[in-house]
Amino acid sequence: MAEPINDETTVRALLQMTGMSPTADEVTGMVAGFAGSRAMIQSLYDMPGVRYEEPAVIFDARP
Amino acid sequence: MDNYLTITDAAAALRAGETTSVELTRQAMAVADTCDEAVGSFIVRYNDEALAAAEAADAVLAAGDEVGPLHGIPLGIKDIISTKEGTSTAQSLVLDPEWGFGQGDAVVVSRLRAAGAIIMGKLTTMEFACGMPDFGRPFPIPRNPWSLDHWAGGSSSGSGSAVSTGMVLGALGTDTAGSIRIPAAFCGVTGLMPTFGRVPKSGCVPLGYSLDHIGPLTRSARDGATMLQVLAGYDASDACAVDLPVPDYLSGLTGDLTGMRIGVQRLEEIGGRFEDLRLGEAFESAVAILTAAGADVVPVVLPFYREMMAANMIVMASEAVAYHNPDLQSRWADYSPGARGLMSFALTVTAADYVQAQRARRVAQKALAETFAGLDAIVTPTGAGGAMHFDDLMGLLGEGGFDQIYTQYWDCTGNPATALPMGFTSTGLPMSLQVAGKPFDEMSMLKVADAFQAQTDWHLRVPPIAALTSVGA
Repeated sequence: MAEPINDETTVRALLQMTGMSPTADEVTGMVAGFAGSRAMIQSLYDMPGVRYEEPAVIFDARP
Repeated sequence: MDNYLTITDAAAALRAGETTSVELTRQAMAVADTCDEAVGSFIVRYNDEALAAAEAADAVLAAGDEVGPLHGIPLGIKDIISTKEGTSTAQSLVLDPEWGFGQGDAVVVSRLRAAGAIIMGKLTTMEFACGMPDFGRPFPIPRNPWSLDHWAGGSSSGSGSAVSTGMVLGALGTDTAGSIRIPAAFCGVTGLMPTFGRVPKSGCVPLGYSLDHIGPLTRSARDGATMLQVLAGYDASDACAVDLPVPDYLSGLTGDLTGMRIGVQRLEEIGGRFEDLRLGEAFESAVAILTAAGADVVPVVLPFYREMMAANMIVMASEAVAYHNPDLQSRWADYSPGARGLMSFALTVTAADYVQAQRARRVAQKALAETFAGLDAIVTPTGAGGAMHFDDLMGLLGEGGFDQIYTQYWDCTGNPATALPMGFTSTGLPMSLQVAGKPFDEMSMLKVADAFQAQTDWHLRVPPIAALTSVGA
């Protein structure tokens, strides 16, 4: 049976994907902060005026 | 000899034959001999090279040759910026010792040297400009010269403390979320973050490619203008550098703010719970000084403030992890807990989130431009109080900890911002006023900062640990 998806399994999966190996305390901190971080990130999708804005990333075709 | 506190005074004395570069350099070395072990400003000192350069500078002066604006002036360089004297560490066990090897001077260092500056050494930072003080690593702990059990601020920690004590008369720092202005604020000096793209950042270990700035820490805004005059200008080595004319910054420093309009926001709704008891009075007093100098002041609200705090974190952490990923995978334990804490935030950020943060920056830029219409500058406190005690520092990384520092917003929008001393907290630590300008209008920002300093002497206060040090003392 698949493991239920929650913040801890998500964080552990992300860590496995990135190949980083933080300490147990650091993982605990990451799990505790995960929901707050995602809420903070979500606030940028909710900004008025952002729907059709261009990103502040510039690519110059000249190498 | 006199101890010269500012670049402006020292340069004038040099030209008048009242001192020599060797004397200025020895004076700075004497302060470092006395204070550096306790304060932790230097990673490495280039005493022999500095004295040789000072002797050469004096010979040029004696010959009557034309000299640059920083001729014979002792300066320090944050140890993430390359210099020809040796390798950089970024205060890290991880940075490849070959980084910068053979590169020589970064563009900014090259410009300082061409203007006559004497490079005294490399100054302490937080690991890769994003960590926290780590007592378990073989690097000096940057302490606050006003209270040694408090943080000097970061990440240009040694730049702030070295200028505050007089180990150098000016220094280079970098700013991605406040790393010039925070140590300037905590150490009681002036820190100047130019507009993004105004000063080339090639030759500097990157933290956030789209946020990093190089700028000066000095005792006064006038000194900052003098250094910026040398540092500013396009260079093709930095893809972010902008090719615009550089104005004569010093010409605008008249002390008269007649006709200028300044927006004011105390930001207590952001960091009010952290405010020092004296912050409100000090900030109101600062605004009153600007009014007395001729400015009209109007209340403003910085648009999308909280969103820009989020965007700053998302962009900085993501760009940092892109740079550090191979080492984070193989050498996690070699990074300090502070750097790991910041960079691990990027785990929660998707590629789409990163792009969204960059879109959010554009929205905030445009909204801020509307707020800035009809204004020449905006002032806020640089933070809600003074430097943190080392025991409280890791709390900064906790939820809401950055609310007490008001610097990140301007990194995200790209506007120039400067921090300048405006008094002391209830426990005797420096507090700071932040003045921001429109993009590429450092001139108006410096004009306001200089006018404030013409009426105050907070920026000339020297911490007791350094107050009695002079050559021969």
